[in-house]
Amino acid sequence: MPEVGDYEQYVHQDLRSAIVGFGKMGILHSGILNMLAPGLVKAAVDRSRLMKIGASRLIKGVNFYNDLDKMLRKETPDIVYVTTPVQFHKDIVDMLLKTNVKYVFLEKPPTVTHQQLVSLVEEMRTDQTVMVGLQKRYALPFRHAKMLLSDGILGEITKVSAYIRSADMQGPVSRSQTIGRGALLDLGIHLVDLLLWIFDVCAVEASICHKIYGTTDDRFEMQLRTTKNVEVTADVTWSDNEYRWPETRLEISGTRGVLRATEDYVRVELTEKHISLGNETRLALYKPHYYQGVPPVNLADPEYTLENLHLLFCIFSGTEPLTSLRNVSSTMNIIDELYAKAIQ
Amino acid sequence: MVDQLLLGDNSFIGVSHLAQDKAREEAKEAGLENKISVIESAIAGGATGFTFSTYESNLALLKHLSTSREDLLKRLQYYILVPHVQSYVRKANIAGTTSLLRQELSNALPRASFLWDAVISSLRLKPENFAAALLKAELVPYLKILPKENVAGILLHEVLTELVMAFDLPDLVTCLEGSLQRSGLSLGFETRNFSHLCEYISRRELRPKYLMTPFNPLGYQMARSKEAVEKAVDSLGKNAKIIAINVLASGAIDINQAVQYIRRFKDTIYAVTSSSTKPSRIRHNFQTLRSDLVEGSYSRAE
Repeated sequence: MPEVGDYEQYVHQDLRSAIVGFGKMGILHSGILNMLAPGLVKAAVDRSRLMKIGASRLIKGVNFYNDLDKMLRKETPDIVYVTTPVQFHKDIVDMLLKTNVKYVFLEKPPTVTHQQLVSLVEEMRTDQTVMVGLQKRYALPFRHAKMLLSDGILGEITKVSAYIRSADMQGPVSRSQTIGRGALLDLGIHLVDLLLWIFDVCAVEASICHKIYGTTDDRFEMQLRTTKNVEVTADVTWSDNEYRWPETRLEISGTRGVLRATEDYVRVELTEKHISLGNETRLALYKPHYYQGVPPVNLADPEYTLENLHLLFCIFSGTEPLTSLRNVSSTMNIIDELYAKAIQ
Repeated sequence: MVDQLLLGDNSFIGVSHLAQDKAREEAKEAGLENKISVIESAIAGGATGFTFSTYESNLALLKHLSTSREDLLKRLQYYILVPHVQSYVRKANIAGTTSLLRQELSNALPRASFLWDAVISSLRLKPENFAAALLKAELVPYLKILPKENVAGILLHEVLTELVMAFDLPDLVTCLEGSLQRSGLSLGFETRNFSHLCEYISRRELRPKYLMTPFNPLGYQMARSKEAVEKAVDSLGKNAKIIAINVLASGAIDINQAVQYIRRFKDTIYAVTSSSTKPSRIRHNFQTLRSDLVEGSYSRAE
């Protein structure tokens, strides 16, 4: 975990950060940043007057604005976190890039369409960085699963099945109606991104869209194929009552065994011993085994702090984030293709 | 010596910090009758209190106890965690945070006690008062059921505690504290960032009565680090009542390993929690905790 070693060095880089969209995710990220380095968040923008008045009366150490342009002129932040609804992402990031903001953290999904993402990538200067908040890539069980698969513990991979499920939506979602995209873009992007990152998915074979409450997808089924010609089946839903918290699960079958991974664990069963499992045939590691005294701030799930540390580490070391806008471009491309090919 | 052994509600409400599939299994097992059996076994094993979130199934359980098993209800001390953050997160997911704020305010306004607070808050433009009033409104149904003398403390949920630290909100703490004190209640903090909290409390000269935090030999949910949290427990245990939760590291270790670890801190830790949907397991856990960590204080009490 390069983000955690010597983190004190790069959380105290004398950076000025600002938040655009002081809702749930804006509060979460600014909370983590300020706990990592008190006073790191200098300003916040929210177009809601109620939020601006309430928050500015409550939080004295942050300057609140209704207007992004005004904030940028007065605060000149080094990092801007964009945590607004997705339909505003393109225009906001566009403005940030044009006003020479050097580092942008863009909450997922990065844009409504792949085309919007491509136009932002084209606009970025070489010294500008945009990192996307696809935090599942920073969850230690998924990182470990990817490492084990790279070590070839399963032999040849024969099949992958996966899901991401939550109980978040039990009725029509107004913001989805506005953009015409639902569960797949909002929640499923995590799963699609993991599948691309770990298995190099390259093609959409089939997809089915289910509308339960409104005019957009509440459930999505998909069949994908990797560059090594492995079949991947997956489903996405934000309306499954059994899932109190969102859960992402991968089940990978290979010629030498099975690996199952979620945000919470990695479980492996092999037909023969492997050095990566300490010369055992089985492995079961859970969150308490992965997160022992790390990360240094624990607010919501640990992967949120890890992704924030990752951005600060990349700024410090001058490296490109794992989930840079450029690196997640193919994820958005697959999302577009899934929508385009979906049978209703 | 540890003074109190508390039954936790995680298993009752489908929360597991080990794995969500385990939580889903436990939630299926945790029917009303099962929960009552667990409470009986917990008391038989030595539990003296119940710590719970303001979750609607907990309200249903407590209502049932108050009408059918008052004997059980009266035997426990209560430590209530507010607010019920998950319900707010879900509402924010659907409609956005600003809409949630508007919705909560308009829901609470018709309530007479809240109306008065709302008028005062508006006149003074103090959102702290709104927060205090909302928190109190969430507590009301529970306080109506529980014997007043048995409500030991109200603990601020970790998400709010961490935000108090992150945004430096001592006025909010003072306001919440004052509001609860007027009802004869004490405020405490629940946190997963105990060493950060220790520094914050000292910097802001806060004097919370209760502090609740994960405490286990793996260092799971102990930020900034296991060593820093141990040091903070030693330091804060002299001035506040520390409630150790997640002592089994969400089930990654057994009760004997937990006891062995806590033993070193038994003079600074006030209470230890345990949670299960299995009556036999909860009885065993509390018996083990009692015989090793509490016996001295039990002798005193008896």
